[in-house]
Amino acid sequence: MQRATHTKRAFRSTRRMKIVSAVCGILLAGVGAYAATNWVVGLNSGSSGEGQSAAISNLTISAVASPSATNLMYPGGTGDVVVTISNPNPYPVTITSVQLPTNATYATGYTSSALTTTQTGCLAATPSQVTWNFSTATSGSSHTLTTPLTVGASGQANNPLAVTLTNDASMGTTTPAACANTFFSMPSLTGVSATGGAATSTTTPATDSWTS
Amino acid sequence: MRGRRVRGRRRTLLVAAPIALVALLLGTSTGAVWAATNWTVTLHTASSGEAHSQTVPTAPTGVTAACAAPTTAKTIKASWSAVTHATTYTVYNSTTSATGTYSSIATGVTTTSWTSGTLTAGTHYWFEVTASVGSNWTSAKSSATAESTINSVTPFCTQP
Repeated sequence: MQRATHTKRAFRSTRRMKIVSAVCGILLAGVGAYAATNWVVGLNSGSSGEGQSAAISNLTISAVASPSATNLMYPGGTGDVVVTISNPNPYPVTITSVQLPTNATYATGYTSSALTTTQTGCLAATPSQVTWNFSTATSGSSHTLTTPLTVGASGQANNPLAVTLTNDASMGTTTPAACANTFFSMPSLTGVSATGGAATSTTTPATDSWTS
Repeated sequence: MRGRRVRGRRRTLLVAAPIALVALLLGTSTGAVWAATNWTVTLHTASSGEAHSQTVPTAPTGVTAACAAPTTAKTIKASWSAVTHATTYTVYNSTTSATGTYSSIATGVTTTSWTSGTLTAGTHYWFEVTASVGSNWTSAKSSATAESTINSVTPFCTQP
């Protein structure tokens, strides 16, 4: 009788411990998953994601001469901007929008597409009056790309990705004549919004834009 | 009795611990994969792009001068072909020769023709035109000159 009671107790205890352990495990797993999946991180150049599980490396967006712009700027008009985007991460990254500097942040003019020799009379300080189209008086305004751009994983196809941003550069009506037939290094973007993960990369060279 | 209890607990631990461990590993690894594939971040980059500008506008072509109302007025109408992206045109005239000195007689013309006011009788007029895009980009003067003569009697204007 006593032995039977004890066996029952032991059985209940065993079951309780199993349940408690399993629940603990599930809870821990859930907490882990929550912590790992709900972070929004602001990154400086070369930084990683605040001790989270995956280190995130910045994308690099640079000027490129090829392919050449189709639409060329003129005073009061717009023109194409050509960029290359490099992704150092081991997974594709999809860019959905860009953040622009203020509309008073001007591009510097250069004599050739190599962007090595500045164009006299057409500097950012002149000013050239060449800015990102749709930029505002406030830095960091966000502009959604017409089509998200997916840069391939590091070492994979379509990385770097060459993109022509159609008519996303703007030239003021009072731009100096010295800025005619000039190549411009556009002001740095203040940021991009991107999502990492499995996605089909965009074929390079690509064409995209923001239109507002 | 006590020994059995200890063995029972040990058995429980042997069963429960792997369950908890597997659950934990599953959750964590799932989280890690999710994290690596679905994160959303704002990236600050040294970023730029290259743009290119057009050349200054080409000089207007097809410049002509015509007598605007030869029977009634001593006026001349100059016309030319539109220049791409031009926002305004400037009209110049010379009263000495086709290759003489030209002076600006009309600025900020937004159409592709311009009609003069009353001109001086007995004078030849030659015209040239420039095109401007914005405030500072201006073409060279049109190479072709157009000529008309203002008379003191009707017809007040004639073409040579």
